[in-house]
Amino acid sequence: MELTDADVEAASGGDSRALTKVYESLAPRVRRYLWARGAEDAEGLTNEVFVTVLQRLPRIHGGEQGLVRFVFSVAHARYVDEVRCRVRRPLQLPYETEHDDRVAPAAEVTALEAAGLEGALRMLARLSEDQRAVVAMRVLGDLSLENTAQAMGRSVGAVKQLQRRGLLALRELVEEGENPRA
Amino acid sequence: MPDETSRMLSEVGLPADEFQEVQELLGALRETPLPPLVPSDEVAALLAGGPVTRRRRRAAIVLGSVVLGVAGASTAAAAKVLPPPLQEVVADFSDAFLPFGFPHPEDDSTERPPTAPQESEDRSPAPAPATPSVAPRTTLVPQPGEPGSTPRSGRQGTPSTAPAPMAPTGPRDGAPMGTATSTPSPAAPSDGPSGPPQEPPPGGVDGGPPVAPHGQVAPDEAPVRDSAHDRSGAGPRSGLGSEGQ
Repeated sequence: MELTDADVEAASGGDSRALTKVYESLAPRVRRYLWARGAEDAEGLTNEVFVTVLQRLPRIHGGEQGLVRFVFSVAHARYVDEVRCRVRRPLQLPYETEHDDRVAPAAEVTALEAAGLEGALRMLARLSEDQRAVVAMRVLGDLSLENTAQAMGRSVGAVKQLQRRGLLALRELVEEGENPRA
Repeated sequence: MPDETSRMLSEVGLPADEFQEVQELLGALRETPLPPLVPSDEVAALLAGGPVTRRRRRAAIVLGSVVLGVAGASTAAAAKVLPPPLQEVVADFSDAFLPFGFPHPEDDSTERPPTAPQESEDRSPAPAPATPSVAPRTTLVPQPGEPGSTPRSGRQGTPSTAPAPMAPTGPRDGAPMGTATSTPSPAAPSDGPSGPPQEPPPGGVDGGPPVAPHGQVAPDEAPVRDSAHDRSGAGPRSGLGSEGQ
């Protein structure tokens, strides 16, 4: 679904159809980004992001690109907040599936298992926080280099460096013999 | 082949053919179908109404603030703790438009406790005639049936509210203490018009310095001087202390 500047303009004016289009075009990208980053509740966090975004929509400038930058800035900040909250929480035991007697796994887990991508996510998780943020924003969020830099509050050069190191680290992990589809 | 990954590689000068597996890995993450996203209730409300909900919330906050402000002002006006000009405005408004009324600020004057007589009672039986205060005047207005009420019509405004027994003690011996003793005399203000005394006694009752040093005060005159000078200095007080004992 292609989002245009006119859609963003109409959404800023409160047009319900345009607002829905903004949500439907950007929310899946945000959710995928948060999921790849390892958010505990990517769907809930995505909704929190859009509560903020939709309330501030009339004050966002820059058309579609400005909106995308703002959306991913909020998503990045929310994820960082979630990680900080997670760190402050009491010590949690690691989750062990064989001790879990629940019968309905999360939808994301089901999709992940179907695609055999658990290993891929584990590999991505071994990158540094900033490297993972850059790779996820660029690949899963479809953000340009400049938009990624603005969303992360970094310079374009710094993002380029993070991107380069992240890709090299991923290649090393693959060559180490870790099968990402396992 | 994910285009975005190829672009990323070229941006940082890495050869794409050495990163085939990385491209597959990232492409799989990108293309993996995820279950449809369900908007939360709050997001759904925002999508339906847009910023209107915020406007309504803001309007409710403003309305609540106004109601609280009016209630607070009414309570303060009823308790008569507003500044006098504001109290006057609120009272006028309530008189004109409301079925009840708030008190006017000038209503305070009759209810204010008399402070000057209390001080004079603490110190001395003779009151301070320096300033014409309201409370002593109201208490000493002659009753209509009294024999001396008619000729004393001019005294009603005078500050000479001291009791009569104190008057004869004043001008004795021609001492400089005539400042305070001449005022309570019943004869002195009788021929003057009503209102404050037009000829202040010599020595200045109104805040003037004590005319007599400590050693020259007659023993029975010291209390009168002390009250007349409103405890302005240590001299009369010390004289009173030596006097009363």
